[in-house]
Amino acid sequence: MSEARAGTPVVEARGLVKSYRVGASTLTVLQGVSLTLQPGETAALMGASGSGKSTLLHLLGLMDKPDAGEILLAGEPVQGFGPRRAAKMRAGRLGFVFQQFQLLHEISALENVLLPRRIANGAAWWSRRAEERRAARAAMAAVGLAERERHRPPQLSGGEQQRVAIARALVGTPQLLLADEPTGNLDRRTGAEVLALMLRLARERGTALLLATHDPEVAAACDRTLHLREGRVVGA
Amino acid sequence: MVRLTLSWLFRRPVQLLAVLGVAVGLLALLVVLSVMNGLIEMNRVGVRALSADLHLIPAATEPPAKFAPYAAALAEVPDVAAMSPHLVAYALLSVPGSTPNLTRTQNSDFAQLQVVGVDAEAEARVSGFGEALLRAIAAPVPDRERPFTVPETTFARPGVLISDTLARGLPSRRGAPLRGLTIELGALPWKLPPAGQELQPVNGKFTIAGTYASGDYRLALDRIYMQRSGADGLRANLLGTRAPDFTEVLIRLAPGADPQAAKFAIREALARAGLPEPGGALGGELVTWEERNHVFLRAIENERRMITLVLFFIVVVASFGLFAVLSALVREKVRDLGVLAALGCTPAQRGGLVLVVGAAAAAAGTGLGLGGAWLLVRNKDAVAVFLRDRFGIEIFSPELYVVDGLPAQWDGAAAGALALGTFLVGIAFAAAPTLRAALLNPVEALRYE
Repeated sequence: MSEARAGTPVVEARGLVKSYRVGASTLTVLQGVSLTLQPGETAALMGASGSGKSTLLHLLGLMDKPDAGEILLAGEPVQGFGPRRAAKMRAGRLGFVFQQFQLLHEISALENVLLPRRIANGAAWWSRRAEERRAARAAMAAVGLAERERHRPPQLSGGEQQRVAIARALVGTPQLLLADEPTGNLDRRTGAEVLALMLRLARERGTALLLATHDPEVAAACDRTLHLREGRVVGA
Repeated sequence: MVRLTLSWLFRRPVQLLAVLGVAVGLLALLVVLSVMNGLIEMNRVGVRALSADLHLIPAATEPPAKFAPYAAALAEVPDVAAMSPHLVAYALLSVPGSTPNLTRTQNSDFAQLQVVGVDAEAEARVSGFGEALLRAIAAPVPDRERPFTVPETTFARPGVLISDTLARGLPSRRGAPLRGLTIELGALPWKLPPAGQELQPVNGKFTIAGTYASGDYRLALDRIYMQRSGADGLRANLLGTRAPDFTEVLIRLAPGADPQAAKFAIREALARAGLPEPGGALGGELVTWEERNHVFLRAIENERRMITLVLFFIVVVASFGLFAVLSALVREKVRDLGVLAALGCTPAQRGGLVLVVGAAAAAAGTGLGLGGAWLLVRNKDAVAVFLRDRFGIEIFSPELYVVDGLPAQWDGAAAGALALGTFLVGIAFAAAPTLRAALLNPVEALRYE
């Protein structure tokens, strides 16, 4: 885990602009988005479909690059990062939870949880494998799935799969967790359970959470809500 | 990651088909190559058997060279262990009682025969002549030290030895034994008469004293042996006493002697004896058996190279299957690759995953092909018997090829090199899908449906 320096925001975005070419025209999705998240802070990102929520998460997750603007992760500017350095940053400091769970079906739940650590450790994996396996088991236990670690994702329910995804996202104790409509594919009750779990674990670990959602009830559970309208962040 | 890679490799049947394609391609290449090696070796042994280490053809002088001074000069060279003079005539063969029409196509095998006069004892010392008599099938001679001795009949003629192959082609003998059969040879004179004068062949009757075996099919159809000298010899019966007493000398070198150094020493010995240099202005030559047969040996070697090249292209085509299945893998797993990218997989790690799958498939195909080919070559005769008995497929007819079994020789170095080549071709075909996996955009990959 990379600790954020005291008083330094986990993530700071300044004037992010992102456009896409659609045929002959250009669609500007983000038009100068700025936001800041402090360690352990949870924020909901709301907006209509196509408002740019996912785009903003992708930019903050270093999976895409803004056309303009600046992103600082733990005070470090990341604009100049190439694909390799961006991948290393994702492996070391960021966690993702997706609406579609995005687990790999060929391997067990525990192996899915181990993946980020396997990737982050690279060649050092072999010497740390026992320790990492213990951490992955602890993460599975934390999401209440200790008994299901050998099951493959298709053998789990939607709620269970999303719990595995949360365990996978938090196993390395990242500084920032980016969740793209994590309850969107779950029924109301399961969604509430998953949300509560995610918020609890993020707060316990001091991980900042930015959660994109349509659901006001989900947003209400976070420390604050950001609204994306016409490519800009409005509201508290 | 290892488990993920293994699942990508082994839980997709199409991947296994690609592995099988590479394996079958390499197996076919190595088996055919081994059979070619066997045939080539068989030919080399066949050519070598009735040759000697060195062949000396004297320079063309007038009058023709005599053997005695050459024998004396050669005896001075320490590397020369034994020598055997040959006297060669060219003749046509017919069997009395069969059609005498020499222009018939069926008689073509009996035209332009080489009648080689030898001293049996000396010949056995320099070449595989003795073994060739021992391995004869059609009419083995009863006494290999006196192979030209004919059965004691009233009408016995000078004895000759023909090959088993030629014996099979002789006109119908109506059940008469081959030994003792009379043949007629019409020989060209030892030198052409002046222009405008009539060319007069000499013909004579001879008795088959026995047969010899030859692995060299060309030589077997061409060569008849008889005594070089004496009342039953080639000079007395076909060429005339004014003909030379030898036309070439076969030389066996002492064990460990270097042929090129021996050639040099022989040239010096001939010069000291005042004999013309072979290969000089008056012609003649002094060559090793391989140099003498270099056109044939190069031709069969060339055949092997061509077949290797053609079959390697088949392996390349088979390896193309790897490219297809790896491309399909990247397309099929694009979301998984996107997830891995989101989790922090670098482009090199993503490409590496696909490359490992490709390399593992190429290695599995190569290993299967190499192992399968080795097993098949090792058990070639059992496989041939199985195919013949079970399916009636005769893959190598002994009657047609004059061999006892399917010849095959495993060349470990060549097999290893071809296996490595196959593996590298597989890796090369994995390069494009690897690049595609490495360069994919994580956002687009996650949105891929």
